[in-house]
Amino acid sequence: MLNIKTSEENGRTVIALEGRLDVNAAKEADKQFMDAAEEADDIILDCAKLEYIASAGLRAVKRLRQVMKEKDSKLTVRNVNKDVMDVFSVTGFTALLKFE
Amino acid sequence: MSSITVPANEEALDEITEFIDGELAKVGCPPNIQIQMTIEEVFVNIANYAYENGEGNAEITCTILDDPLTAEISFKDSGVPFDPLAQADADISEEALEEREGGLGIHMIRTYMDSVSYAYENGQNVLTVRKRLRKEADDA
Repeated sequence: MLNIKTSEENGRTVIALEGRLDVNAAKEADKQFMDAAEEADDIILDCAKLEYIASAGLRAVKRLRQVMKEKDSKLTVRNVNKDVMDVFSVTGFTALLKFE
Repeated sequence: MSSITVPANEEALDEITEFIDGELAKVGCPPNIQIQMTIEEVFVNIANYAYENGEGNAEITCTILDDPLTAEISFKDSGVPFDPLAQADADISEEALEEREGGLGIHMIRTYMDSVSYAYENGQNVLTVRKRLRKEADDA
């Protein structure tokens, strides 16, 4: 189960993920990421309450990054917990993403 | 040894995860996130590729081994013969990640499990993983 909340913070768009970004949540996450990417030129992916991610979720994050990169916009990831950061690290996503 | 049989459909993922969490709980172990990720990666592959017409089952068996305490989990399907371990390990360099979609799942399985083996037996793909268990959560 994944909750996705989008808000504004000092002119930046914050997408907060809460719960499990598994294969069944990835389709909805991808849709919401693409909607946000259409509007925003500076997105923060807040992972404070993200407990779990696997490769389907990683693909959604990667697609968001690619779309933002193509339109010369910013994507930053923050508040990643130990388990999720370990997945980013094992899969090479630490080099692909910008963290704050 | 316990097992469940589920339709090879991504929607059955939670059922498998709950089954394995339950087997671990029986021996006093908390849910193991690396096992949960492995279940997802293996099962999504079965759901997407095992059956050409999309219809079929997967059987998941969990055996708890002692000394050291270890979970052995087997995934069986009767679909197209496919050895996921036959492919080279994923290149996770930044350049390679830009280009490629697949391969991350098996890379995660290989990294997170203590052993992974594949056999084609009696018309079934059998992927077996083993993972040492701890009684407390990793952060404890």
